[in-house]
Parts: sequence; structure tokens; C-alpha cells
Amino acid sequence: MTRTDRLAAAIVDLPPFLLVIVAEAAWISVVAGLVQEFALHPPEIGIPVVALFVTFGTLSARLVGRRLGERWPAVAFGLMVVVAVVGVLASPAARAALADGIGPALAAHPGGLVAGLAVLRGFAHAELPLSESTVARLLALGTPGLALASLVGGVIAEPFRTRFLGDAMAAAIVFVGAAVLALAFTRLAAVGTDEGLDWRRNPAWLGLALFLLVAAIVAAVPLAAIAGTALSILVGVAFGPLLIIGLATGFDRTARWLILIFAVLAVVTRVLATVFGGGPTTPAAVRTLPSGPVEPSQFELLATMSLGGLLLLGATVAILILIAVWMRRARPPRDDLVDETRTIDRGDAPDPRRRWRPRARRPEPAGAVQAYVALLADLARHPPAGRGTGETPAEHAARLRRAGAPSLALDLLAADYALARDAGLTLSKAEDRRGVERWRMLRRRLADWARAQARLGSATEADRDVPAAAADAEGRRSGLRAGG
Amino acid sequence: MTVTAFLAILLLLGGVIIGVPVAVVLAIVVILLEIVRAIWSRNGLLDVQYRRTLGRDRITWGEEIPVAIEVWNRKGLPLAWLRADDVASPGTIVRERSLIVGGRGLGVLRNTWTLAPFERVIRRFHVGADRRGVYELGPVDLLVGDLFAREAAAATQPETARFLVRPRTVVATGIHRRDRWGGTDRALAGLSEDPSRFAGIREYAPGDAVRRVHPRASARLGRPVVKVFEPSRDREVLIALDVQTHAGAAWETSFDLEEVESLFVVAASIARSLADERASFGLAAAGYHGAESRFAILPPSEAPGQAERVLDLLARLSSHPSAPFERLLATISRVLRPGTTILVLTARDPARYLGHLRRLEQSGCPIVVVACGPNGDRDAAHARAAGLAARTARLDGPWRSAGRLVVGTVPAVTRAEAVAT
Repeated sequence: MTRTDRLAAAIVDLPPFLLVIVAEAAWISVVAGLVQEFALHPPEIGIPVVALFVTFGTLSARLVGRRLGERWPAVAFGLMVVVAVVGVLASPAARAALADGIGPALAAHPGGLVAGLAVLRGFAHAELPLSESTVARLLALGTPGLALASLVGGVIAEPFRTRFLGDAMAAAIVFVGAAVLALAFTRLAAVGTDEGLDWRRNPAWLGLALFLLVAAIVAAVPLAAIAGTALSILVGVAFGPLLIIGLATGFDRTARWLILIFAVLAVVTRVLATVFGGGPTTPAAVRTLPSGPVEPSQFELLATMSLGGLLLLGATVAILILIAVWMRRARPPRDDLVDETRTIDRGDAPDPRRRWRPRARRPEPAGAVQAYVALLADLARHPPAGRGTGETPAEHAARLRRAGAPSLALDLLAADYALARDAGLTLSKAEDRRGVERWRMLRRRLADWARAQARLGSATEADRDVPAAAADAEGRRSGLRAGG
Repeated sequence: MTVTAFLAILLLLGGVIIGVPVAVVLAIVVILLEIVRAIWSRNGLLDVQYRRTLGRDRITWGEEIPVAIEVWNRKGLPLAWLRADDVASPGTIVRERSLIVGGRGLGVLRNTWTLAPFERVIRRFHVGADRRGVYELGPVDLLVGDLFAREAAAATQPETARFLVRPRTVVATGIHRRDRWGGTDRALAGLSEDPSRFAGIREYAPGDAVRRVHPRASARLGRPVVKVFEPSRDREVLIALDVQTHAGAAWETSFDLEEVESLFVVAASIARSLADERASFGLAAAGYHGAESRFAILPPSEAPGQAERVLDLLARLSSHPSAPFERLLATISRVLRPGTTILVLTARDPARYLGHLRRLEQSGCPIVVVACGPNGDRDAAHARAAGLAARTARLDGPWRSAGRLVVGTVPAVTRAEAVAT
């Protein structure tokens, strides 16, 4: 393995490591903030500082721990204590109070003690690739832990409460985003690194995962502020729509169309009445300006503080995308002996974009002959149901019927066509009308049937590249005989 | 609903009721993860096509079969990972990968992919085996992960692909076969010639049959000449393979696998040698071979492909006997034409079934015992002492690396010892 390959492998291992460091730092910063809040002090160490402590713990375990062997636990404990002291003294207030003794210094910045916790957690991630169970436990315990910390932190008086809740919201966003992604990458590494799995080859997966995660968080932040109101409204109004949905699912297709049309009419009428209709004017309420400085609402505070978390998460995501983009240019690892070919093959799958494109409405056939011709054009898109070259209308209809096509109407329509075209007879209006009705029914049912046939055909198709090696066939071929 | 989803909903409701926005945000994300998992568990394996294509279905030991494993995600959902555990018969060797122990306790060829929407990936492997036999790949267990790489759905495809690994063949010194009248039971002339193979003409000599005179050549030359044919050789040989290598009863299942494989290499090499001489040959053995019968009997034939059929049968045969060899001899005496030479390949002392061999010879089937076990000289001497023709056959090394099969005769000293015994 060349230096470039080693570098590439290290970079692939790096994203989950960075993410887990950030996640650890996020929840530990909430604990630090909580301790500070209970001591009625503002928080002094945030996620970046804690992340440095976690990284220090990881690196020291990786570099020093292996060399020390059995002496490492004692050294690690000492290291933790030293870092906790450093964390306390990171605050200027603590350093100033140190002259009065250790107790006052500790009281000035008790949250600094969690620096030792950060180092301890860093020890857990010393090995690469990361342990899936460790990261899963981090997410499983951190999620309710953060909720609990927020709940406990909410009982302290202002202004510490609002500040803490804002910080906790930012940290929670960073935590959940980083931990979920770290867990995904760690799982991928655990699942298939040895079998040639490389997530860099699947940017669609990475993009969709990041998009969904960020979208969920972005949607959750405002929702958290209005969730109480929304929930009460939801419970109040859910009964009616649920009743309607329940009824609607029992209706047939026509009834559902009617209800939809009436609903659209009602909405349009309502909009028109609102736009053009004049309503009774009510005098505006007299507003009084507040005398003191305007206090931001809790929602505004939450949103502001959450923005920081989102930005941090966004930065992490951007780094991931850059790594993915850059590494796609890198060569695949050379030690993988398997020859692999990757192609994007849509096969005969329908283009999903076409579903949203409005189709030009074709004119309906005027008679049975036109109906038959239009039906053939429809069926040409479905090979199992299409008419073969040199196949007469009657043969075509008979073939489909033998194959299990759902109706006899095609035979009748083909007979109408033959009577008109081959025998030169003039069809009556009633026959033409029935022909058009048959076209309407057949174009849908035969298409559905053809699609089902195609699915069945692909599911049960034999592998033609491999000759059968059945025991009985071998017996016949080799002339084996029972001997007794 | 999973336990995690239930707890997340509780957390959401608790966060809303108590007024803890952090809990709401966390709960929403966890619910999202659960929804994603539900979607992928329902649709993850939908429209995923797994196909295994073997380049050949038969190889000789030491060769490899190119195998293409193709997986196609025929839908718009990306798959973070898709794992396929292809169960492989014990002894299967994949050049590019090591087999691992799968969930069924069997060796599996494990492949993992990450698949974009509509992505088709083909991986090419080379598969062989550590000894002759019938090998299978499949069924395959498919496992898929959701968007956040959590295990979401599993399925099993029962299709299997089978391939044969024929025993190795090495160059064999020819087994001298007696001159006999080609394919008939009665001697019609004094010389052993095959009347189907015209060789030329010679001068007429008194005593030559009139029907051997070549009229046109005699007229052209002005003196009588007679037709000369290629000398005839014994052309029907049945290789009777004694699968049992130990001296005990046939139902005892203990056997030395290496010794058995050596025996099969000897059998395959002799079959190949007979095919090269365009002899009519077949195979009989008391071994399990995939059919209902306990005896595998391939009648002698010189048709094209007979060597391949014999090698296929040798590939299929079990390493332990399905019945006593004596019963096989009794069976083949009923199905063989008189005059067919029976080449008995054995790796043990034939004393147990010498009586059967003598009866076969008395019925018109010449017997040649080829002793190829570790005590081949002694075993062959026993056969010679019983009045049967006997040879020794020995590979010039372990069966995996041997380059030649040496067929010899029995040393006189050993024979004398055997007679004395």
C-alpha cells in the first residue's frame, strides 16, 4: 500500500472520528453548563474547548497508552485529574480566586471539572475504526440524558435558565446530528470494509442522509417552540379529518373524485370571497409601546441559540461533502483483488420525472375501428400485450386470452375491427359506442396485466448463462444405471 | 412500532407537555430515524436483483471458474449497504476472498456493496476447490441497511449454482493390454486383427482364407494378394474402483482422505490414458454419487466424451464406500459382456474379494488388479498368487503435485513372499 493509499484510508476513517469527538463535546458541554448554572455562574467552556479535551484524551490513549501497557490506567487517572484542574483554572475568575484557596477557585468555575470527563471519554475512542457499540451507546444514552439535563436545568432562575436552555438546544442539535452521522459511518466501516464497501462511491446515499437529517433538525427547532400549541390544536382538529379519511377510504373512485371536486370548488369560492368580498371593518387595537427594553421571547431566544448549533452542524456536513467529493477522485485501494464494474442502469424502469409532467390529452376514438387502432398503440408500450408482427387481430386476442388476459372484450373489439376493415361492413352506432367503451376498459386492464406479466417473467426467468446441473440430467447424460 | 419509536414518542409528548424544547428536537430526530428504518425495511430489498453467473460448470482440480456476481438496485432509494452471504460448499476456494463462517455455520462468500439508485455492480471472482467433488454456491442471504446504516431487512434467495471439480489427471505409463480378437467372442483367424481397420496388402500365402484375398489389387498386380488389418487390441475395459481404502468392513466410515484422493487421481489418470488410446472403457464403483443407486456403473464406450463422463462420475463419487466391493463385483458380472477386461483399482489388500474376481474371470472377463495403495507391491502379489494378473500403480509424489503415474509389475521376491503367505 502506497503512502497515497494509506492517506486515503486514513481520510475515510476520519469523518466518524471527528463526528464522534464533536458529539462527545456537545453533551459534555451541556453537563458543564448545567454545573455552572447550578453554581449561578455563566458557562465558560463551550463545545470547541471540550472537543479539544476529548481529542487530547483520544490522542494520549492512542500514543501513550499503548506504550505504557498495564501502567496506563494509573497514568490515565492522573492525567484526568490534571486536566480537570486545568479545566477549572481555564476560567480567569478561578485563577483569581486561587489565592484564597482551592475551594473558592473550584467554586468560581466548577464546570471546568468536566474537562476531566472529556478526557475520559476521549480514551474510549482511541482505536480506529471506532467501535459501533460505543457510538451506539453514546447516542442511546446521550439523547435522553440531554433531555433530562434540559429538564433539570429548567428549574433554575433567570437569567441563567434561558442562557442554559439556549446553549443546551445548540449542543443537542450538534450532538444528535454528529452522533447519528458518526454511527452511520461507523456501522458502514463495521459492516463491509473487508468486503470492498466504500461509502465514497455512493454520493446519493450521503446526500440523502445529510439532507434528511438537516431537514429534520431545521424543522424540529421551530416545531419545538410551537409544539405545545400545535399539539393541542392537532388533538382538537384531528377527529374531523380522521373521520373524513375513514369515510373517504370506503368510497369508490367516482365518489372520491366528486368529493375532491367539491373541495376544490369550496376552496376557490372561499378565496374569491376573501379577495373580492368586503368584510366588516374592525378598529385596530390600540397598542402601547413598552417603556423599558424589549425582552426577546423564548422562541426567539431558542431560535437564535439554535442557529449556532445548526451552523456548526452545517460546517461538519460541508466538511463531509468535501471529503466525499475529493476522495471520489482518488484511486480505489490496491489491495482489493476483486474486479468490480459499476454502472447506473435504469433498465426499463419508468422515468420518475415523467410522473409529474402533464400529458397532452389525446382525443378519444370515434368508433370501434379507431378504438382498436388506439388500443394497439397503447399496448405497443407493453411488449407482452402488444400485437406481434404477422399476427392477425383474432390471433392476437386469442393469444392474450390463453395467456390469462383479464377480459374477452379484446376479442370482441378485434371482431368489430375485422368486420369493418376486412369484411367491409358498416358498424352501427351502438357497436361503435361499445367499441370505445371496450377501449377505455382494455387500455387500463391490459396494461396492468402486461406489467404484472413482465414482473412475473423477470422473477422466474432462468439464468441462461449457466447450464443446468441437475442430478437427473446428469444421470441421463452419463448413462448411469442402477446396479442393485 | 419499535421500542425506540415508542420511547421517542413518549419523549416527544413529555417534552411538549413539560416544555423542554431540547427533548422535542431530539425526539423528532429519533422518530425520523425510525421512519427511515421503516421505509427501508419495507422497500430496501424491493427491486434488488442478485445474480450469480458461473463461467463453466465443470473444471479439473487446480483450475478455476470465473464467477460474476451482479447486484442491481432497480429503484430510486439508495442503499447504504447491501450484504450478500453466498453459502459455499466446504472446500470451495475463492481466489480473491477468504470464506467466512456465516449465520448457518457454513462458509460463505460475503460481499457488501453501497448502492446508488439504479446502480448495477458486477464483481468477478475465480472459484476453485481443494479437492474433487460437487460444489454449490447458494442459497444467498441478503441483508440491507437503512439510510443511516442500521440493519433494516433480510431475505433469502434459494437458487444455487453447482459445479463439478473433476479429479486431477497425470501422465500415466500405458497399461499393457492383451491382444484379443477385436470385439468378438470367437476367434475366426489365427492372427489378432481388427477387420474394421484396413492396413494394406501382402502376398498370398498358403492357408490364407479366400475371403481375405483382395480381388482388385490381385487383378491389378497379376498375382494374389490378401488384405492386412491393424492388429487388434483388447478394446473394452471396465475400471472397477474400490473406494474403500481400509481393511475393515465397508460400513466403517474411517478413511484417509489423502489416500482416497490419490486413488481417484490414479483412476482418472488411467481413464485419461485409455481415452488417449481410444479404448472403449467405463467405470464402476460402490460409492454414493448423487443418484439413488448405491452403485455407480458407467458402461464401456468409446464414444466421444466418454472420458469426460468418467471424470464427472469420479468427481461425484463419495470418499467412502456405499456398499462392499464384493457386491459391486457381483453386480457388474450381470451387466458386463463377457470379454470385457476388468481393471480393479484398489488401495487395499484384495484378499477379501479374490474369490469374486476369480469367478468373474471364469465367466470370461479378464481381470487385472492394479494395486495403488501404500502396500501396493504386497497387495498385487496377493492377487498374482491367486492367479490373477496384477500391476502396481504409484504416483511419483503427493496427489496435488505428482507429475506421473508409474504402472509397474510385481517384484518376484514379493510375489514369492505372498505365495508363501
